[in-house]
Amino acid sequence: MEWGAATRDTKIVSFVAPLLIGVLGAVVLVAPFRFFEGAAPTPLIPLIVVFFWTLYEPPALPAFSVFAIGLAQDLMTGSPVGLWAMGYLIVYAAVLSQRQFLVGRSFAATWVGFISAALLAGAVIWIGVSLIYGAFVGFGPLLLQLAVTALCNPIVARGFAYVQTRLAEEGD
Amino acid sequence: MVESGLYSGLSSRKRGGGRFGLIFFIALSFVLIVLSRNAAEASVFEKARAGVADAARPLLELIAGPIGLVGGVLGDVSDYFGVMEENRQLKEERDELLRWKARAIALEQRLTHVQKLANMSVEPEMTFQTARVVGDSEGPFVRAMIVNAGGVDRGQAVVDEFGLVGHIIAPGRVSSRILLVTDLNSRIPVFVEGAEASAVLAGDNSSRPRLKFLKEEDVIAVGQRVITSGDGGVLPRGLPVGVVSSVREGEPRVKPFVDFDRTEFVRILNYEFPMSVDPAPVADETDPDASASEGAEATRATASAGALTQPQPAAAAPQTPVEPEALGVRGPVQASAAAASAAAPLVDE
Repeated sequence: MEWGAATRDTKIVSFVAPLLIGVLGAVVLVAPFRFFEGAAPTPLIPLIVVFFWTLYEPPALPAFSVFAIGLAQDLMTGSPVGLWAMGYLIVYAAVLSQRQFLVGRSFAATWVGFISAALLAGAVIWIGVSLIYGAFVGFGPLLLQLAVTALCNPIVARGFAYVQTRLAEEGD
Repeated sequence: MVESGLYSGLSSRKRGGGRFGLIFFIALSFVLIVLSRNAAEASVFEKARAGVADAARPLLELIAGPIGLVGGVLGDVSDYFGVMEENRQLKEERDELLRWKARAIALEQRLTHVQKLANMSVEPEMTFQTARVVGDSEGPFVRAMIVNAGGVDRGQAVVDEFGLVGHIIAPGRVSSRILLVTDLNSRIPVFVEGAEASAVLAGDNSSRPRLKFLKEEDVIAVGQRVITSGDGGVLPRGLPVGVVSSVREGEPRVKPFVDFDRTEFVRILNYEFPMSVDPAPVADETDPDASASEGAEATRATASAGALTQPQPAAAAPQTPVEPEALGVRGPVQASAAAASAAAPLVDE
């Protein structure tokens, strides 16, 4: 009975962890870091969360969690509501569909996969914003933020791998 | 389990949720985007944004505190190397400001005198609330800030010691969101000094918002100062906004006075557009008896005072509503006052 309860708790934690980290990443996006006097944007931690858990542990990150993370980012940053949620969900769908080609590959190959996913998210967001505002908005700032995120991905993803490994060990 | 370069405990299960869930949430996102583009943006979503910002405020303050501390220490170290040059510049600025101060005092006295002579209604003084920046939305398509002040109203102007920062778009209980003048959705009625032209300052997410809706005869030149015009009655006139930085292809751009990457404290101005002057005492027309009684009272009072002239009716003619221009809202007088108010140094909490 106790063993069952512990397993259930671990499952809950496994489910909550990526959601919580993703939402915290959305909050961190609006923290006034102003790296290099505002020249470098804050990395999109939620995007790394979505990519990592979709690729390595999809049961821990259902579509609802992806939607919630995107919605939190929309509400925190002041973006049109639903925009980042849509972007992350499309990345989620794309990574799920390509998962068999990405799993087990070298780290460099996975990184290329992440950059592709980031560009896909950027394209969705850029098209969405342009449609909403009725004009083509500059892609540069978004590209810069995605580039910073891609650069941070190796370190941040290693942190997530550690968290997920611990969670998996707890569950075994 | 499948080995991977990054994470070895790879799940063998392909997906966590069903395809239905994915399609449902994509559709929901789409619906939210469509709704946020329309009227719902002003009500439900803004309340949600304010609520989320309120909830995140403790965490943001927790993060913002050390960031400010580290930024301050780093700033102090870098300032140390340029302290002599900075000192010289500050002395020059101080001397110039002292000259301006003497001139401002003299002009203020003259102004007060002229106002008395003209029996001019003066715009009430603005109150303000000082707040600290705890959030800095630097999304690629949004230019906004979150401050730790609640209970303010949507549309209120926000300034720092240099000039206009933006205006409140989502007031919350303990925090509020400011739309910066550089944001794509920002439209500020402005006045270009020197060209004497009214325009709208339209943000486009770049660091140099554009001047729009100028007349053909307006001659805009680089270096002209831009202030709020007060048109529309939402923002007070005279808040310093920026300076014309370029005029290319007939599209002037403005460099804001505010350095948004360094703004730590702001003032939220409580400005109320003076729509009318104090109403004159008017007799209650709905109560003829009272009016007649008051008239008789006035007649008696005048007679008893031995007045030779005809007694004045108790009900004075209603005062004609005064145009905002006549109230000095558009005049340079208020511009100076508001600018002086905005430029006052901000105090730490």
